[in-house]
Amino acid sequence: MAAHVLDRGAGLRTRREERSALVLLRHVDIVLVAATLSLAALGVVVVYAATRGDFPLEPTYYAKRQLVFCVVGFLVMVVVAAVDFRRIAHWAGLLYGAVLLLLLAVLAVGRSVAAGTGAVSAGVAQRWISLGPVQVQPSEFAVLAVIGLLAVSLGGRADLRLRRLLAPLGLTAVVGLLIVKQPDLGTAGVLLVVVLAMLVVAGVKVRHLLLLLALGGLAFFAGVELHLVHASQLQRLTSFLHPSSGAMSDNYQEDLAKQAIGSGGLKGTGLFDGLYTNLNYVPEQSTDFIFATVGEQLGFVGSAAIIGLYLVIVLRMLRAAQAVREPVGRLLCVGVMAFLAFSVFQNIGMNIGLMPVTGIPLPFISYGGSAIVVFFTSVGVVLNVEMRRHRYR
Amino acid sequence: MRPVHRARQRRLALLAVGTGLAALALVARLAAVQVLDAPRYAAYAAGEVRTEVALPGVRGPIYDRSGRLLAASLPRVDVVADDFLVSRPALVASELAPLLGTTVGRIEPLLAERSGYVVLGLHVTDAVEAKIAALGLPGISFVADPLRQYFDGSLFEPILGGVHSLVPGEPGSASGDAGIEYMEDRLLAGRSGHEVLAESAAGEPLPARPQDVVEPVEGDGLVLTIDEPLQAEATRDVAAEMAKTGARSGVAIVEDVHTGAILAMVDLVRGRNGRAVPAATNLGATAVYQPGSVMKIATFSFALQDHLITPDTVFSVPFELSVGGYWFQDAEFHPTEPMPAYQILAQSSNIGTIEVSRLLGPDRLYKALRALGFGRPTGLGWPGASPGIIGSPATWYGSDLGSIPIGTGEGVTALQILDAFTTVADGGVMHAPSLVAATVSPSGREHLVPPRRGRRVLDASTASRLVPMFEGVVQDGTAVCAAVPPYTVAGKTGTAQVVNSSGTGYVPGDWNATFVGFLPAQAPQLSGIVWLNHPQPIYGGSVSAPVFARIMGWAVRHFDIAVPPVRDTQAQVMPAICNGA
Repeated sequence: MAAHVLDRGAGLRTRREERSALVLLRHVDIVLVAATLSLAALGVVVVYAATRGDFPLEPTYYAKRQLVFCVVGFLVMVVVAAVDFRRIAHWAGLLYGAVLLLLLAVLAVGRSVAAGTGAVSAGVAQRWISLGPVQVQPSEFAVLAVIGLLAVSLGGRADLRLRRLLAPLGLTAVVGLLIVKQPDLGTAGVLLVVVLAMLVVAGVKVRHLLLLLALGGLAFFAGVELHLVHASQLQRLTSFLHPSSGAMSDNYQEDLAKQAIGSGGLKGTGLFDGLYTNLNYVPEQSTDFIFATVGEQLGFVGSAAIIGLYLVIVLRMLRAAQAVREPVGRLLCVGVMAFLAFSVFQNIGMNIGLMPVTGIPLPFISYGGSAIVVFFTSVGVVLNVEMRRHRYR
Repeated sequence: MRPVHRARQRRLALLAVGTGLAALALVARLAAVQVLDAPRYAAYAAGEVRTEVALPGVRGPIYDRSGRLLAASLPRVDVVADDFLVSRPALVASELAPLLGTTVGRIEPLLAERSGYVVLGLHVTDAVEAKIAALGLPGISFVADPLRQYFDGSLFEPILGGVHSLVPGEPGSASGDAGIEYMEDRLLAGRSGHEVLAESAAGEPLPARPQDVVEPVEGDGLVLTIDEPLQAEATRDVAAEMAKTGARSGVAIVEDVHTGAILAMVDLVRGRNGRAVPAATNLGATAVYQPGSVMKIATFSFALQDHLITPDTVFSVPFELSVGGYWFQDAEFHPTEPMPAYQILAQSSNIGTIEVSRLLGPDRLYKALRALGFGRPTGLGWPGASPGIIGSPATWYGSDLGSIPIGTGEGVTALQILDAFTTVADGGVMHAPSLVAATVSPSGREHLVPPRRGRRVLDASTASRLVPMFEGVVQDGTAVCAAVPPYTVAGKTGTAQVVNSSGTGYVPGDWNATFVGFLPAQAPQLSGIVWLNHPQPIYGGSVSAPVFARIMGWAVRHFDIAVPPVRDTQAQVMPAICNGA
């Protein structure tokens, strides 16, 4: 029973409510917020380093926009953290439907935009739609929507038999196929890892997991055979396995990125001093290949420090997942953690020849509004769950 | 703790371990790239901004015999773009178009070509280059590409030829494509060098000293034997006669009798608007035609040389004669009459010439033709020059013994005919024609090209007996219009139908009219030939001889050639009819 106290001038509030608000604030994960903001601030600086030579724009054009994206992202994070995740969970179906419509809209009226420059170009993946003056990449939001959907679907069930998984996995597969169709294999890969992580933590039996993996593998080969996955995409996915011994191989972007990172050495060339970055050698050096700029200018020490920051964020998210007893919240944390962790692994991996080249942004650092907002939202989700871990046991 | 909860914690721990391993993999791989392989990648980084730039050797200039500049290479650059680096084609095009003197509409599509290398402007001056460089446009750079300039317009086009770039904007790729530019390409072109520069991906030079510099070697200059004022005069005279007679083409060549140096070489064709324009090729050296009576030189010179005739040997000459089943006729009807050899030549009697040729026989006639340079290269080395077509006694038909002595059974070039007459003019010594008098090293030092030693073809006595016979042609024969009083001219006319393309007959109404001669006959200095195709009237004596007279009349004053004492009792005069009266 809630005890009432007199709140002068503000009317009556329950003691429990007041205690609750304080508790919530007390349980904000400051380390997670600090690491996030540090990376975002560093991102603005690195975007400036990577784009300050873009003629005929002002040197700070992209950096200023990135700063605005970060501020917007931060505000979205605060809002997402403030509203009880259980309430948001009620909207999971709605969010899923909205994202599905956006993905369908991409297929119908989507634009092919060369990332970073905003220049419309032909012959590249169709991933963007215009919402007024803003370009939005729905596939990035789609991952979050799927995380929400799966968390609600899997978290509410004690009994996770295979046939009960069919509906949520089917809905996930629809989103996955629409993303593959764009084609955005990178995001599709991220989605796969996220789903796997959530299934693992949700408690799906190992043999079912193996069965699902086998089905996924079969689906992939069917896609290759039916030419849903283009030969060029397949080559891109596999060419990193055969690196050239020379300076340049078939993996043009990856080779240049590796050269840029390698030339940074232990300590880097110094901020704003990198040859490859300053001469615009690495394609997409402000977006998907921004780690080339990081590696070149900040060296091994700086790069490892940034990986360390990501590790801090991921471990804080895992810690939240571990601390939360409430199954939907836990799955939300795991899904978001997998999303962020695999994005980092995939992005840095493709920059240093460890992973195939796919269009995945480096969280909080790559230039781009959609990605910034999505990753801040992700952190907001974890903050939300962790702040309320004592409320739902 | 419940078992389910413990299982989930284990699975979470598994995820944590997986995440940790992934981070470890990233850091390990990063260490391999940034620490172990750092020197290799640092070397790549240095190599990325090193670009080898070709330094084109400046092509040598070309002068006339008096040092007048005919052709030179001016320092210019081509403006090129890496269109992948041009993010705002419309903006860049609007900046460049006024400077390049073109339209935005022409440049903008080039900048959107997505080829990585487009040439926006050719042969841009230093001033324009500086203005474009000051704009600091990414992706826009410059490539040295000297501009070949010809200072006398089209006057020397068939002789000088031209240069072309195999790849526009690619330095060092320009080479001679015709004429002297092609013939002497190795000498003129010099040698391209190269250097290694630090250059950005946008093609902008980085502040670094050029390395591995191999300086280009400038090409040698050429001093031609051509005399520019004489070339201009001969061009005017030939063009005027083409306009007057409606000729389709006109060729005039003037040589120095004692060296074979070509002083003028004019090749004109009738253009679309009916005006004479430079021919695409040097017709005088490359075009083979059936020249008619000028070929009688072979029969008479070797009949004299072999003592088969003297100038006064009398032949009984009918109006027509059957040779090998074909009937040959003189130009005008006459009854069978006694005719001395000199008169046969002066009146250009075909039948008389065939009679003389019978004394020679086919083998000696063939040797005579070969000795005078027909059927073999002239020695000029002109690209595409023809040796002519004279066949051999083994391939000749019976009728060829009638047609070849009178110049209707063989194909020769105007230059070959002129060389044969120049040989007579120089006392029987044949000189290979030449166009290059000297080379000029890049430092300005001139090296004379020594004239090649002449080859004696005729005895001096034979030549000295031939000259008066050719004088008679101008004195009172078929070429009175070739007279250049007070000088004495020796020469010969030639008029022959144009052979059709299948070689089996003639093109109706299409004639070649030629006059070839030299002066002063007593002490020859200059020789020349004028050949008009499809003139009206058709006779070499009527249309080509007057042009010869005008060119040579101008040349003797220009070269200040003294008038030797007239040895003949009668001086040559030019009848009024020759001046169009």
